[in-house]
Amino acid sequence: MAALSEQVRHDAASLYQFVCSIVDLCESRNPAAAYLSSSERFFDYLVELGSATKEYVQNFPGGRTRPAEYLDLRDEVAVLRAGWQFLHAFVRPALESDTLHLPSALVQGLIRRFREIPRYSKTDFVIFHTDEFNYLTVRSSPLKKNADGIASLVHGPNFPEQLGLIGIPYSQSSSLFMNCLIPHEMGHYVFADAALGKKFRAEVEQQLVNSLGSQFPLLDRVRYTEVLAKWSEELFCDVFAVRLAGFSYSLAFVELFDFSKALDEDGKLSTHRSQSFARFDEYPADLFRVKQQAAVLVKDRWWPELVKVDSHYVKLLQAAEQMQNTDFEFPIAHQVDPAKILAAFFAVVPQVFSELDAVTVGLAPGFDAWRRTSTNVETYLEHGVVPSSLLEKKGELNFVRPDLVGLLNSSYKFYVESLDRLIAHIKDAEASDVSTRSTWAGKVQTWTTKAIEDVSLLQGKETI
Amino acid sequence: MVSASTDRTNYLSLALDTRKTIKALGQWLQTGAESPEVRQALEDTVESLRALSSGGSLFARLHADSSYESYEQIRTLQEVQLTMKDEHLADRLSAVGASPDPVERNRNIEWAITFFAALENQALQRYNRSAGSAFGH
Repeated sequence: MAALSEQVRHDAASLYQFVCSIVDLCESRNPAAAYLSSSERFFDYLVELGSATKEYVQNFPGGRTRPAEYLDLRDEVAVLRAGWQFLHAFVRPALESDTLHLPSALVQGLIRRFREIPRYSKTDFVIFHTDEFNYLTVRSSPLKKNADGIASLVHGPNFPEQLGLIGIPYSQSSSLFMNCLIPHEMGHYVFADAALGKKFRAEVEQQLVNSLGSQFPLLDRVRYTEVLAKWSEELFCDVFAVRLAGFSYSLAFVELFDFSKALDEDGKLSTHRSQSFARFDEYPADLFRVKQQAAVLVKDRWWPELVKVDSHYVKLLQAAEQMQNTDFEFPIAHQVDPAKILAAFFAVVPQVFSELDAVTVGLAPGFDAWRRTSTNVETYLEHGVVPSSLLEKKGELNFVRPDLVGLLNSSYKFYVESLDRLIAHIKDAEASDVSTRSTWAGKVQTWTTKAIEDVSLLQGKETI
Repeated sequence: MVSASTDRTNYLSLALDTRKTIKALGQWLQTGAESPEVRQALEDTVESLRALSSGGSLFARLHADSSYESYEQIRTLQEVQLTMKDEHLADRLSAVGASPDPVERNRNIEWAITFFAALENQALQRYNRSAGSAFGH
């Protein structure tokens, strides 16, 4: 067997090779592809951290001579390798997400809207593709923590400040409505950035102690604390998304998971059909989430206008808004009283709303702009016209530019309520035909996306 | 018990944090100077070990970047505590650096390195063997 020093050198070379394989991917990315500047920042960061890692392990074992020191270096190699395996998972999905394969106009519009929050005026997001049909965010807290953990060992750069990562299903780059879910993922970034996890864990733990007593074994309490803190985070992200994007987020949420199937033939919540949606498990109960979204829509003044929209999605929102805490359940096969667990959670829900208000200070509400342009945007869509510049006849003729929130909500409202009006203008098109409806729903999204892009250019704002 | 999925990134965070602590303890041995970071790591570990024994509140007491914020991390700490079969782990860690005698102080630091190395190995083993993802929905 080789000497211990040689074994360590071999291990270091193996790690060096692994890091090279990741760095090379980032450095030799497809030159024909264009990436968002946020993605470029992410790749450049990985290259820099990779260079620091390689430089650090290059001279292993250095001047060390004692067996204990060699063994310690071997442990360090193992930890660094695990760290790079963790980073490895993000590289390919980000490389595949060039601007041709992303809903770039919407993403840039949403980032601009997000940056209207003063404390996030410089924040950026890397968008990458996922195989799962679900929107997800890379939890920025452990990502940054683990990346910085590697950096501190190898004297490399820290993870870029104000940079989040969001995954979208690879097939949904052209679906405007489904991508209205992206603001929820931005909420996860805010939750981590504002260190709300620590706040909620402490608050939740205290509520659990209040509910169940301090004799509750610590590991069980930690487990439930995590579950309830996660529920709080999901709720926070929902209500954050509604504040950022209006009811378009809630309609997308209902559509993605087909929650409207909880309704009966009269548009009321059916006990039988809604049972599974009223159940907390790893996530908060779906109808509880919808109920909290409705609370923000009420607070932000959308609600009186929204309830006029003739759609089963809206009926579901109305039904959920009327639910009471006692309508929800948390089935657990454990000696703990689930009602007490839920009581502990319900006690922290008001804090979700106070944290929302605190982090969105300075964000202009989207409701007024939407109400000013909604009718006009819908008329344009009905006639197959891209609603970038809206002709307004109040005295003089004026062109008005809708904003992102106005466009998203007007367009989603038109899609759920008035698609028939558009199809009626199309020769030989039948509104009763599913395929036809799908085609023209796609057109509505294309025109709206084009309007978002046009408005961005007309506003002369910098390209992200 | 609700089935909450294991987040293996918590194991990695613990392993990386522990590695930093081991290096800082090594520096302490060499230079004789204790860093604020190593003191913070020792205090958080002691606090978590004591909470494991007493069942007292944990999260409100930990500092912002504590290594013991998740179920996976607390459980790993408990596993190492059980493996080491030392009822006075928290007291011994708490006493690291307290002795005025340099020989005894260095012996205590070396013992702390052994403890954190066991914690690092356990966390890394868990990370490498767990299914899970860095992604959250």
